[in-house]
Amino acid sequence: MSKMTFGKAKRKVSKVMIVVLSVVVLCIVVFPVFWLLNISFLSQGGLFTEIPTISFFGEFFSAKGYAEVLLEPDIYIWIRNSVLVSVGAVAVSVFCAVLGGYALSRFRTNRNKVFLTMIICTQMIAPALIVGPAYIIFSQVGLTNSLIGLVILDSALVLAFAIWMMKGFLDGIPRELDEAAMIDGCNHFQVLTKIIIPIALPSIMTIVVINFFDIYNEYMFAMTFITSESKFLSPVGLSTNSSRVGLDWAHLLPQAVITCIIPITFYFIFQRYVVKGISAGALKG
Amino acid sequence: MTNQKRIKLVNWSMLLPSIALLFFVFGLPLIKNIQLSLTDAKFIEKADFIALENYVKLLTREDFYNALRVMLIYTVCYTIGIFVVGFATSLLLEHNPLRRGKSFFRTMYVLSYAVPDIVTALIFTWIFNYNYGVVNYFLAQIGIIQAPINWLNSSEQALYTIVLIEIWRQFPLHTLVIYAGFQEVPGELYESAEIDGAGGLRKFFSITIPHLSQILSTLLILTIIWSFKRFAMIWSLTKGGPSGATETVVIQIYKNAFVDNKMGLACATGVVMLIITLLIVRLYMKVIKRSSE
Repeated sequence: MSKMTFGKAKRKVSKVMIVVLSVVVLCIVVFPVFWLLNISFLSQGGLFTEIPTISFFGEFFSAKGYAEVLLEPDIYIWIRNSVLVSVGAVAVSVFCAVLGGYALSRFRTNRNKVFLTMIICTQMIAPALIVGPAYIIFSQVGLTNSLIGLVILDSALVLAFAIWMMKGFLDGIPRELDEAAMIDGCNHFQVLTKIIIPIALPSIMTIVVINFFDIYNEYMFAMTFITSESKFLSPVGLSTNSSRVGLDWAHLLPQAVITCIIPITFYFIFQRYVVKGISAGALKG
Repeated sequence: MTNQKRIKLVNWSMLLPSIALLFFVFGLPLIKNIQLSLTDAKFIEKADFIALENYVKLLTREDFYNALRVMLIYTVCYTIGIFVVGFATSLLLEHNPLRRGKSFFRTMYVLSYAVPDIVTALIFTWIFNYNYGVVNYFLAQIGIIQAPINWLNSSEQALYTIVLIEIWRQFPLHTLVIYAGFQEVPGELYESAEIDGAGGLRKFFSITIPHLSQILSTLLILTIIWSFKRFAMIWSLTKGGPSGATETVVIQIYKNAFVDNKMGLACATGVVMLIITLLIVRLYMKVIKRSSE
């Protein structure tokens, strides 16, 4: 074999290797999700077997769990609560981030630099550190066991990152645009709403999507601050059911699948923004 | 009103919502935290001032050092693991030869990011189940293990199992960030290195890594800080057990505050933890500054 063809063969082998390894990683990523879907369709008898079974079209296939779970009104209430809190908190955090990001990007005073540092420093505080004192403060103003309380908490938790990203995006929009609009008689708020926001809309969308995932996923505050079942968010509803005595897996697993449906659908619709947002978030540092 | 004054007013009114929100959720509780750490507060009842007693108690408790140790092991394993996985997967993406392979695999790799922590915990409770788990079954079938492994209920493995699960949940972020970093390296550098006869590994270590150093150092400190904060996964997998084997400082704070009714002690632990975090960040900044000079 000549040297030339040997090099070609080697390159071909490494290409095949890359594809094979990529598929292996793909399986590791997808398998747990597939497995949840699989076992959620098993009857109680099919769950507790030494040999793992594939439920679809097998003898242990059972959609009874789904049928029963979907008849429980709680599930819908919890999902509605989750959606309400996520939408509310995303709206609040993005509103604050657009305004704050604009100010920090356009007015570069020393005081604003200090603010930016302080805002970023809030990220060093572990949420578990403030959960106790925040509970006491929130209960004094009647914001515990309240979805509005959660909106306030969740929007603050994601705000620092949102402002940081927003400032990064706005820094990329030339200031000459602002100045031109000001000469035409716009004030800063008009510049923001008429010029900046339309240009930055894809970036704002990115922040919306990323924040949505983080907020939908938030668990600690949702578990601690909410006591009445009618106000549970769906992850809390799931974990409460999973820690009940006489745990009923045949109900729990369909419920877990239902809890995932919103974020996973959301992910496949907006995956372009997710990819962009995650990569930009840390890169802008 | 002068222009200067107007700008000041605009600036303030734009920053006010953010600052108010962050002050109410982070600032005020932090002040309250420091104040409570000096009292014998239980929960909402009135508390007496006891000066530094909580801190003395904390620093003489075996539990606290155990939690610090667990947090350290967790952070080190998690950080190393997630960077290895992040590099491996982003290299696989970067060199994917298929026509639409890059975007397809990238989309699929990020899937686990969309699965909520609580659901992830539930899935892996099953997958790593001692009797019925598919992992034990599979490992036994291919002959790697003789007896089933108690992944989540033994104090030897539980922490490492959690680290694995956390890596599964979080690695897409590292993949995407490192992959995005690759795109910023100018292609000519590789071409001229190839002319000089440099191989793949050589190119990776002398061109790719130096170009990524800024991104990687930001990502590293963020990973460490994030790993300190992780709560939901550990809580729903083991609640810190068995016998404290997975009890990180964050889990301990929560337990003290809401399970054992020792709010004062929990707050003191929080203050110590914050100080540790700040020290690490300071130290890190110093190292970065020195190495970039």
